[in-house]
Amino acid sequence: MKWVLKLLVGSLVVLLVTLSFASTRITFWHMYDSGPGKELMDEIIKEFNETNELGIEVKALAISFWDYWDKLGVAMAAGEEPDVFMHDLGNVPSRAYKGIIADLTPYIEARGMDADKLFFEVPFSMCKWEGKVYALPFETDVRLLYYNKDLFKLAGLDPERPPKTWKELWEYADKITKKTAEGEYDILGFNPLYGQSYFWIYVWGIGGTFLENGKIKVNNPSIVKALEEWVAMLKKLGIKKLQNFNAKYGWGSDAFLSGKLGMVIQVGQYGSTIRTFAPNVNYGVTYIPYPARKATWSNGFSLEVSSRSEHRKEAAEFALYLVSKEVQLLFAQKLNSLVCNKEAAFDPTLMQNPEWKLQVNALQYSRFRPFVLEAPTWYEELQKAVDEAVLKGKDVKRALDDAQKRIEAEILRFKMTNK
Amino acid sequence: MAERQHRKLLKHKQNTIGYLFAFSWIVNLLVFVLFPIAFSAYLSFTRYDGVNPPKWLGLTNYKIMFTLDPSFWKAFGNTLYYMFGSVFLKVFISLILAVILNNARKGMGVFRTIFFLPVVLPVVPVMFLWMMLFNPNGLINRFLAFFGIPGPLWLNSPAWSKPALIMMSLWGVGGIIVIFLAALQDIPRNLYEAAQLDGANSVHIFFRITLPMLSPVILFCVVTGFISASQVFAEAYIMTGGGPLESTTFVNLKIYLLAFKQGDMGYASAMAWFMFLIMVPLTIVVFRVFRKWLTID
Repeated sequence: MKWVLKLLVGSLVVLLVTLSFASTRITFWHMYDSGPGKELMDEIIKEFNETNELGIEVKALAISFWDYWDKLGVAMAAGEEPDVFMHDLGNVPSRAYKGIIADLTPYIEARGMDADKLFFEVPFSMCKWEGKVYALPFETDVRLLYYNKDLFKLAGLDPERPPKTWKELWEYADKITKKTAEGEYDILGFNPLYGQSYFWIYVWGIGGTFLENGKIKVNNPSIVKALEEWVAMLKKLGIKKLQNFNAKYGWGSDAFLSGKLGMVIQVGQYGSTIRTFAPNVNYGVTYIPYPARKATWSNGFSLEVSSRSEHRKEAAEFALYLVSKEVQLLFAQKLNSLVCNKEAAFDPTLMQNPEWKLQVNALQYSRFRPFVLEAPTWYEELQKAVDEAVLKGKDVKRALDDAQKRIEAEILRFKMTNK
Repeated sequence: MAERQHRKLLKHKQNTIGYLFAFSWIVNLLVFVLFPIAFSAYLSFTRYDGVNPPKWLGLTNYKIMFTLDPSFWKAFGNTLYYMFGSVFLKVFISLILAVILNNARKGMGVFRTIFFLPVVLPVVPVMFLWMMLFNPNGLINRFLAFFGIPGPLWLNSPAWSKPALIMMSLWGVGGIIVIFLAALQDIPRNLYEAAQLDGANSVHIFFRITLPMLSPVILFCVVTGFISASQVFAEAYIMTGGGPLESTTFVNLKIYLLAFKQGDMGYASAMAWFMFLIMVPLTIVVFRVFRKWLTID
């Protein structure tokens, strides 16, 4: 019977030794759930698992963008969120305030990284709250003006000279527009209600701002002026006619790809959409025209570490790996995604591509919608004011005043419930 | 004596077995239905972001709802609009269709199937179908244009979005028609025969016999219809997202958005409890009004 005992002890020792050298397992949720995005993410995670020196093993779960938020929200409520996850770069402080996400400053400092220099300023500023870094900027975007060169030629315009100012934009648009016999729009030069054209981009373009002494103020004179101009533009085109035009292109068909829209504001990755789905559309791309100064709007995805994770250090290690130059370069090269690591974005080969260069340069004129902890969705109230003025003909000043009141009520509500 | 004792024991044993069989259902009811309901009542007095433990606030959530949040009242108004619009229209139209079907000599089975068919179809694809119909260039507006009527923007118009959803709810009349048909066939023949002998015409017969005899069933359809219409959610969630201009933001959608998108479970629970508490007096009012209008046995 002695050999049985020996065997038992022996196997126990082997087991203990393996356990002590076993890797730390961390979980990671992201949104690259199909196509080349998933392939690249899988590859990068595999590479990390094989090469990292801390013995970290990342278990990743890819969830489609549409299901991602519900699933992550429920997981957070149950306290079962992954150790590290992708999230919305636009509202990092609301999670920092709730205490769900970990302060990453110590991990960044331990590496001796100068994060302020490494990342683009605009997206990185969204990661900070009360002087600490709560997220890493993974991927961002910018809005640009895409225009159809063939339609430009047809209208007698120079296809190599896109509009620079908003005035030029309308001059060009009027030349491109063609109506049907019934007076509806067949080809439209530009439609401010289509694509990624939003009122706040126009506000920034005329030099307006939503903040006054650090407080949100959507009814300040610059915004009232912007909305008056915005409504006048739409009225001139005919709101109902614009909506009829849009209704034709709601179901997986796109007015610009169909060659029925002269100019459109879209995100930076739209170029590859055109090349894939409408290779015969001869397009050009430029900055969004501006009434007073260049402006565009950014959004993006962050990487965040759960504050309740037992492996915060390892999770931060992996997050930092994902924003390292090598990995970010792969995302830029293979997926054309606008990465936040400057060293990767300014890669000389990438910068030879004029479309890439334009995106990178546009980032310096770009901004996020300002974040307000007490009313993180304040812009929905602004959008409502815009819709009221446009669709219902409500007085511009009154619509914005009412929006400001609603936002202030929301802020008051936050204060009442967060004593 | 022994006999009696034996019976008692047997009855006791049978009861135990009965409770044992019902045990899993009772546990289910307690754990997954009653407990969450009671817990949401507690949450309505707290701030609960879904992450940190709930913090007691007393009546603050209710105070905010009544004094600080006009968007809640807008959602409440939208819900009432939809409830009254869809329930009465649905009951009215299915009553007419049921009476016609009941008098049809031929084809009742076929038409009953046709009207009931939409009820069986899964709702989401049906909603996409209706979105295509309501498209400003869609079938409905083309049909109207044929008569020279310029169609509205339907789901894209703040004024027409609710009427559009009410129109869409008529899609589900089949369920009510089937109930009405069964009730119509339950009305004793001799009443009709007696009326005909007395020389009553069909209008009299309808208003003096058919309608009063149907009134309990109508009441049932109205009350259950009200309750289910007050829970309208999927249409707005899928077809309009609550827009345009919050014209289709119903209370349930608002509760969902607050709880799961904004992480404001406490406030959302307060709204849910207000809705629950308002449905009770509303149902009583419907009962009272009906008792005045119609005779109920």
